[in-house]
Amino acid sequence: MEGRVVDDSNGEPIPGAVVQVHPPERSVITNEIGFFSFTNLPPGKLHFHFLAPGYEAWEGSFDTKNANYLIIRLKPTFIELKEIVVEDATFSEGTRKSSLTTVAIDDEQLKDPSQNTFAEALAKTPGVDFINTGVGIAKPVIRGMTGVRIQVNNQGIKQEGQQWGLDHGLEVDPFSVERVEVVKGAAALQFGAEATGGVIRILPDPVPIETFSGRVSGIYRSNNQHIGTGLKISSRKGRFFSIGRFSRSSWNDYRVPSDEFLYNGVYLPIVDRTLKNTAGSEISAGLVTGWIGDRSTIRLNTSWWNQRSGLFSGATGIPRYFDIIDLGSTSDIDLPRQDNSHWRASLDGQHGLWDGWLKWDLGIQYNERREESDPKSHGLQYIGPEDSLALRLDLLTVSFSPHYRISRGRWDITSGFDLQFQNNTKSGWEYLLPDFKRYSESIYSVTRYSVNEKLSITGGVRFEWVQVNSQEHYQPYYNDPDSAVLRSPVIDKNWSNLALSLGVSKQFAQTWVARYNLSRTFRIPQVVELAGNGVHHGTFRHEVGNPDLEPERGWQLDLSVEGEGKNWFTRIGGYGYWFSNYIYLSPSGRFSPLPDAGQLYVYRQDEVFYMGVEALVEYHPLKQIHLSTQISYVNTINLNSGYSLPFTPPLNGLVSASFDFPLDRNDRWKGSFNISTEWASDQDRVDRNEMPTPGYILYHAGIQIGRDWKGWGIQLNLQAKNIWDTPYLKHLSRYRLLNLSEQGRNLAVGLTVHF
Amino acid sequence: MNRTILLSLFFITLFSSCKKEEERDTQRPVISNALVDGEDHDIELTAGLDFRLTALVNDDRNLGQFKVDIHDDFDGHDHGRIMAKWADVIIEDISGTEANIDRMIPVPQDALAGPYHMILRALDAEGNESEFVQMTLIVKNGSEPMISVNDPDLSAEFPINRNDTLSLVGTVVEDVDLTEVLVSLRPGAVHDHGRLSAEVLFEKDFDLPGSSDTSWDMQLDGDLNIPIPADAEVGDYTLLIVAKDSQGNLGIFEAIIEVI
Repeated sequence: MEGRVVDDSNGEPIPGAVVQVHPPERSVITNEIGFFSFTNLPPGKLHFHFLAPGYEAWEGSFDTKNANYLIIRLKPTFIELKEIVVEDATFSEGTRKSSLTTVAIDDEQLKDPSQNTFAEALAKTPGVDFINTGVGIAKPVIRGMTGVRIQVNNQGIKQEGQQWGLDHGLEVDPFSVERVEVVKGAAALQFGAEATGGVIRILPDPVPIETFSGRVSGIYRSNNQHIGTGLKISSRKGRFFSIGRFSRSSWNDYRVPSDEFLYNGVYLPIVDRTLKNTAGSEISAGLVTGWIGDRSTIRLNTSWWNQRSGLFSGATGIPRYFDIIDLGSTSDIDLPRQDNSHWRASLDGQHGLWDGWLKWDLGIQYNERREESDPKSHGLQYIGPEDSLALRLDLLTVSFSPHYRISRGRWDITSGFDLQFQNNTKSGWEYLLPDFKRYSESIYSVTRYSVNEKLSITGGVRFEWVQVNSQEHYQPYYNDPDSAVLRSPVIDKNWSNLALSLGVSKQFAQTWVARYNLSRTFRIPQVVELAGNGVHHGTFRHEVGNPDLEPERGWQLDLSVEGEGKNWFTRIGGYGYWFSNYIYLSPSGRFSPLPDAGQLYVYRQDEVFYMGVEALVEYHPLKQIHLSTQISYVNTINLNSGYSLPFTPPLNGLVSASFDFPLDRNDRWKGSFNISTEWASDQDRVDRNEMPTPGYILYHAGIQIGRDWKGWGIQLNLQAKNIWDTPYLKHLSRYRLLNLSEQGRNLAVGLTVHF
Repeated sequence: MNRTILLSLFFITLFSSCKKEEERDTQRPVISNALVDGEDHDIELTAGLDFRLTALVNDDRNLGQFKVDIHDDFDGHDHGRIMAKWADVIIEDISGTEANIDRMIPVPQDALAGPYHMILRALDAEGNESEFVQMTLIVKNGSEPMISVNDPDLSAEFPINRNDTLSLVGTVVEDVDLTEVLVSLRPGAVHDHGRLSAEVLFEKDFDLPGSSDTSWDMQLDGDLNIPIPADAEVGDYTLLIVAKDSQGNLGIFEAIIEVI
């Protein structure tokens, strides 16, 4: 198979364009006359991508039996978003025919040095927000849903940790992420029934083309003296390749634009405008090795991640003047803190089998979460003062998920199954949830029928069965180690259910695509929702599970319209979700019988309606000028009580402009200047006992300079975040309860060299 | 055409909500006038006797529960276990828009002497939580170390100039064995948790390892001559002396020092 890549406007060849084909994963680069060739491609229908900077990415499928010389005409574009291919996870094709919105996160957004976490970087996408605890711990929110309702699919396997918890942070090294797609809406069919809010899909790194390449990145953030470095090295020798990476970051206590905070009617000082004990560190390493055959690809992916993150001294228990008045060292990570690790080993394969492709992922993950605090601050006298391990959760997850994909004429079919086994053990002197084993298996099939080039219908079904065995647990009552109170009963239950989905994708003219998707979804309760029983010492909430919860069921309707021209792009999405028995944590109106605990929060089920819109418009009046504006709105209603659901993101938006400028006559150096305004309106649609949060407007600006030589390049990125040092409260922040402002002005520098 | 109608219907429902604003209750209840034996500060209790807690709780709709949570504020170290620290949890159902809390609460006979925190919380029927009220209760049981400062006279707020030295003359007396004396001078008056500055002027921990220390002299053993720096912030500071005996009883002495 060979061919040429040319400019659609003038027929000129495009040298340096990347041509990728999958499966198997192969890629080549066009030469000076835009020519490329592949040898030994397997017979049958293969999917090709053509990518070149300044041109709209093109993807399409060809049967190698019929086509052996291709001329691909790429359209020039001003819109960076169009330069990347976005793929439908089910059929591994472009998303034109997909009935759900899939958004690619561009590299600029991921590599913005002023974003503290990966979850924060994602939140620049309409409809995506994040819940954070300070600057180091953050988790994604899509359309107001978070936790288990969002699946983080990390290079083929579903990332498992304590994602049900609010102060859980995503165990992902931001340096390791190169390609990300966000699926918004009910993506339950292929990804698993729980993914009712959406999926964050971290794609595997592309198979390296050259024999040896690498990247070194460094980040510095002024606000908390954050220093991060990342190294990536890829090599390829014939059919073998390997990608190794290592990164390390550390940061000091961060600064807020405020001298005091109001807690329980008392103003407490923030010494030196610095939040005591919010320093942290992160370290991560990974190695991918793989083999590419003519009809097979195999990858072994191993990684390790560890984060130690201090929690503001005033954020566990009642903030005490004497605890926060002495700032001490701003770089030590003292108690209370989280110390979390995640190990992973996975083996993934793709094989041409009969006329289709078999893809499988076998994964083992081990997640260790340690919450450490001073036992005396909980009044526990029988615990030695040195024993700071309050809660440790060890979660082992083993998963196996094969699927087989085949195309016949107008039909594309993907069928597969998922097996997952989890084992959780707890230790430490605190209690939250029991030791448990959870086993799930599901089987699914998704079919797409292309009525014609412009109209496709996608439908599917998934059956899931879950077994939970959780052990009973007795915990001493307060200071009496000999007493025993039953905190969690034995649970030995299984559930099964059926999810269905039907969607349509229709293209109008050349410019517009409309998508409709209707799903019947369900979600089996998590063990913490069934059997959790513990006091959250930051909020004094005593959170209690309910063993009688039923699987959550809903109907989810997603609509979206996408349009594009040479210098504009727009995407508008709307959704309405109805759940007959949505599971959430809600105040009970009763106090915890435990000492030093506030209200009982119980997992309950209510009829709930979610709805919202999100819109993005990009416009480029000149090639050098990029204007973009976006808005996200979500409204949630508990139909039984009339309240909103807790942690509903406020109406928010982002307006940004950037201007490219040349630095030399030959256009070898490139620079761009950007400014943006981020805003959120007041959020007064709250649940019981949830504080309304005032809105805010923040201003950001930055400058980027870069140059590419043959084979290597350099990028310098300077970003100023919250330029005016505006104090603001964030509704989805764990420190909102303390009326603590989020981080103040932050000057961030990122330097990347690739070779 | 049909599509337009459907879409408009969708967006209309999107921005309308199903339950009227006024039916929701997100207003928090309020606790006021919390008193122990008629006092709101400098509360001293005696082991073995009851005290009377009174408070007023208000809510705009309907109250739910009231919780009293008593636990020690002994700062960790725990030597002898002859006597027990006092901890108590009392939950009371309340209703209506106003509730008068009035109850007698016993201090156990074997309570260790020292400072305790009593935290009062209220809920309304919907689950909205009040701000909490925290009161410090000093329990005496007759066997705690006795702290007396003879000079200067600290019975009222004591003014002192910057650059001067606060020399304390006095003793700590104990019937069995003293184990530790802690002395600190920190900004802010104890009962005025307003806006506080951050400077700690003095903090020292004296360990008494002997097994029969029955008295400790502030000048001879502690050399308690505390210099007030020339650049100290002007305002109220709290002098706190805590003495611990081998049983775990704490004797407490507090005074307000005004730096001028």
